[in-house]
Amino acid sequence: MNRTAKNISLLLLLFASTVFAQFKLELPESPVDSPWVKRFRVTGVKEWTQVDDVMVITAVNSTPIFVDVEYSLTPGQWTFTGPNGNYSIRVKLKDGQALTGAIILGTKPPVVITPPINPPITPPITPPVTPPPDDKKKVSRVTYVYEKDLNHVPTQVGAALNRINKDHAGLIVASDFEEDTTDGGGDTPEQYKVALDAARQVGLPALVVQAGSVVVRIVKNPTTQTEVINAIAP
Amino acid sequence: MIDPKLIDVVLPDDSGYPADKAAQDNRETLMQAVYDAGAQITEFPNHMWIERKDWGAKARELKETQTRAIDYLDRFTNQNPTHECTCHSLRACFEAARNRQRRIAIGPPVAGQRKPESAKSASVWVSPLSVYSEANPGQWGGAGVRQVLGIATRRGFLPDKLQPREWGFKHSMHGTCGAGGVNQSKGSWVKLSQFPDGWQDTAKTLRPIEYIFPETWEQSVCLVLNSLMVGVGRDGHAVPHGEWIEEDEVVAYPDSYDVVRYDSISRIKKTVGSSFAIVSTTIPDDWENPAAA
Repeated sequence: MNRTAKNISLLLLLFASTVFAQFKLELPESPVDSPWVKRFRVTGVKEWTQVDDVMVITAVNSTPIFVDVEYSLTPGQWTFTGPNGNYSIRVKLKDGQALTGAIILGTKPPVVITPPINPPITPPITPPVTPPPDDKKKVSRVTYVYEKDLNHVPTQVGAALNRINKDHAGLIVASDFEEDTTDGGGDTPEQYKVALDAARQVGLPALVVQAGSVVVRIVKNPTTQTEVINAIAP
Repeated sequence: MIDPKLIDVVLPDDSGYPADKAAQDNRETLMQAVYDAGAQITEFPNHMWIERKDWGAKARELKETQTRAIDYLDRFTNQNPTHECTCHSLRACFEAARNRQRRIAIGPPVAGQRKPESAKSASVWVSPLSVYSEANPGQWGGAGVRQVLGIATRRGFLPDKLQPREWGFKHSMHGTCGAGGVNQSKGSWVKLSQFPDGWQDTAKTLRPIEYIFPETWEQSVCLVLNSLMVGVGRDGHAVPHGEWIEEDEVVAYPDSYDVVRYDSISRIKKTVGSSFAIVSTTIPDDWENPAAA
């Protein structure tokens, strides 16, 4: 290769590495003490709106399960907790990039758990055995959490929630929740506690997507039907 | 084009919002009544303001997306010939608010019809009579908006004996002493002292808990354009405003006589002082089990 071609190649490589190194998944070095909360992050993320969704998956008795992920106040940082084991992490960005990695919790390397949970993970996860009957990975709730003094539910968001209830009747509960709403006893309704906690961590208004009691996605301040409908897509 | 006979209707007989009761209603007394009963009150928020020139476009957007206030109401009630109008209007605002939170758009209501979707949704029907019995122990003569708001906020509604599906409520009451209909049970007068034992435990699960009280007629229409049903009293009758119709410059309301009627701007202007919107209601721990304690 002549000098010019070589220089061009190097420039292209540098450009590519610059672009694609903009975001990087940083994980604590394995193995880490378990079961305490551990932080991982994606460098380059300045706002939560850059993040599409995050998944942390482990396996218990060969059955993959989603792990509760807590969003930090700092954009692009999360924590989670869990027992000893292998954890696979995937962060999907709005620009389409999917960053994956793995952590081992525990001072001793645990027994390798099948199926392999290291990247890339494309939901829905298909285990080698029959899926459990309560199939927690399926979206079951989507809630727009807001504070009425700050904003109202955008018409298009309301329309999307209507549409989800119609198209996924009996499978997904799509609703909105004003922060101070209570049940008959004056407490936060049980069914909204998870969504409310999750939304408060990232700031209201927020759309919280759950699979059972597990938060699988949060969209900050959605305003369009597309944002809401895409949030429940696999 | 709307039939002019349905616009600015003045009912021939008293329907339950007489002048002496209306005279005690103004924005301050309404706010005080619900505040004393434990509700939250919000001043009209700036983010809900919509410029007059945009009302038409907004109304069209709401209609296209089925997010009008009236889209969240799945039934009419019929009070004829009683004086229960303030409570029928309040129940419409309550049910629409509750369904809006759950995002069940199974309206607008169709007179004389049970919508099959009602049974598959989380819709719960409340009894206007369960509030009116306390508001006017004498049965005839009507009630003020201030009175019924205070009662419903303090202790809630009892569910109607007739529900879109069997929820298993421990206590219930027929909806009206009037005509009722396919979606509302009817029966004879009930004194408060005759309510079933322990009824408060059921009623407290069906309460409005947050309100907005508009200061101007434009704010009132803006609330409707933000998908909130607005209860109003004027000219002897109380009704729930549920849709702005730009072409005719009227608001539509599902009247408690199995019919949709309309108020023009001049009529809407009369409602300031007796109008309210319910922002939120109590919500069960499980939408599929509203009867759980």
